[in-house]
Amino acid sequence: MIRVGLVMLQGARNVHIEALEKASKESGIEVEIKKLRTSNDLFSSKIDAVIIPGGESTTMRLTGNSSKSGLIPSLLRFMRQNPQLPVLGTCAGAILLADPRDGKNSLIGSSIIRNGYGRQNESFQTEIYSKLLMRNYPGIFIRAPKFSSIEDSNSVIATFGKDIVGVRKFNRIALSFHPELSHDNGFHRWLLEQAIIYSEILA
Amino acid sequence: MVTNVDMSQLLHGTELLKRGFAKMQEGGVIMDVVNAEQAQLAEDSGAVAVMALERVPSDIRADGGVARMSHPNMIMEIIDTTSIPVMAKSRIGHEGEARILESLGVDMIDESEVLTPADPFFHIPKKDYNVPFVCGCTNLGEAVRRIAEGAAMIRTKGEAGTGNVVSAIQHSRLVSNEINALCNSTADEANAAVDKIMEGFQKLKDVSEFNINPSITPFGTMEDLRNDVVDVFNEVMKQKRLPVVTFSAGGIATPADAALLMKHGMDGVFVGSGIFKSNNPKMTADAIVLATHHYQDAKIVAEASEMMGEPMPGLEIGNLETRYQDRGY
Repeated sequence: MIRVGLVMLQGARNVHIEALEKASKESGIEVEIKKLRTSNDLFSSKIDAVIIPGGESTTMRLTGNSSKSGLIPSLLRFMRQNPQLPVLGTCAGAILLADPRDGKNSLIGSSIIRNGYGRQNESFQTEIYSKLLMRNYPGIFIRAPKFSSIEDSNSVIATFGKDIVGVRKFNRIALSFHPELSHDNGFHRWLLEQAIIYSEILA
Repeated sequence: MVTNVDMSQLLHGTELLKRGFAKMQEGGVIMDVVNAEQAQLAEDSGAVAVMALERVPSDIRADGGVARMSHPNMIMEIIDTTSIPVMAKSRIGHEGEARILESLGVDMIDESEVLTPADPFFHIPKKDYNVPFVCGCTNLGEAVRRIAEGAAMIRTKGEAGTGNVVSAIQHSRLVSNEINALCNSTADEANAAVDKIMEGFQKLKDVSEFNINPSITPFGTMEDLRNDVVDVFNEVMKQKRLPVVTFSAGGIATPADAALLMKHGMDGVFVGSGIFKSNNPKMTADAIVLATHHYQDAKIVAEASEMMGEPMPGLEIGNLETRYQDRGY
């Protein structure tokens, strides 16, 4: 049984739950979803992986840094202490990983521009390539952020033309698109497979 | 904005992108704002989007007369100020206004009963647009009609500008109870429900001298439209909820109101007059965001309520001259 912590600060949580359930069925890896709203939720859940969904990063920063939640500072510390913890951040989640604003480095060795691909009228769907999954992938970009610079070119895991749309550092991946809205559950499966390895190392 | 890529490979304005945009709003508060300063306050308080309009609903109600789309300069000023999505309202059935709002680059159009309806028979054919739409509903049938027309998001109407949450609860209960009841229906019962839903598209008949029903609608032939309604109806039955993100609106004035609607299973809330007609808008905005996020924790909702000063003054629905919730088809 893999426990996936789903960050519930705001945003498209339900589609991540659906994608995780499908990935669980496909891979045969049993999943328990732990909803994270506060730092207490994080400390009491013993999670093997984390998903930070898409939504509005400005809202998530406020709700997650408020004294009533405290989830963001706790989660950032937890991720830095456990670099092998599998993490999937999509869109706004990728922004929080790239620009954590805790006075330390980017968690994914990359900087990002919020709404770098424009407003909703510029939102787009297209086929991209994922080096991590070694196949083409349906890219769904909604008011998407844009990776602007990366520390290590080996960290690129998804591209669209010359644009970098996915990066990885340790076991954390950040995507500027929305795999949870597509029918391909490859990234969620990757997360579950890494979580198995991670939980076995801990055990 | 996109660089280094072949633009011809890109698909824009698909149903997935429109409904997907709405999903990003889940768990959030969307606030009515009338200028750039209020938009900034909304963003700083944690709003997921702002609704740009010239007057909040309680002022529209007090002023009377015809309420139209806001001035483009005012909408552009808000777009230029805030980094969160900007929505704006068009009149029901007013394609002229909707096309202007789309060209201004708003992120979502609210085809809203708070403005004076422009078309007495039909709403806007929303599938023809790149920009996603949110529409109001008072019951399941109205929601299914709007989604079949292409709405990417639904908000229960409530009664805007009253600070009275009773209509919001009524509409939320109606939608969920109607879904529950119909989920166990036979094929014949489902067919009868679809027939009933289709009646909402037949308003022209009531005023026609010849009692005619149009075979062509802004959404295609009546037959195509029925097929779309059946598709949405089946989606509802399968998912046991509306197949698009569903917010509550119309009368939410306090953190407790927001928490109540979230407990009813709403995906988020619109707050119109409730924030900027309260005596301390910043505190009210902060408190409603806090309560919406922690709606399951009564202690935190209580603390949010403590943050509040005087909420907006409220109105009894029965005494209203105009019920906005009755607008639309």
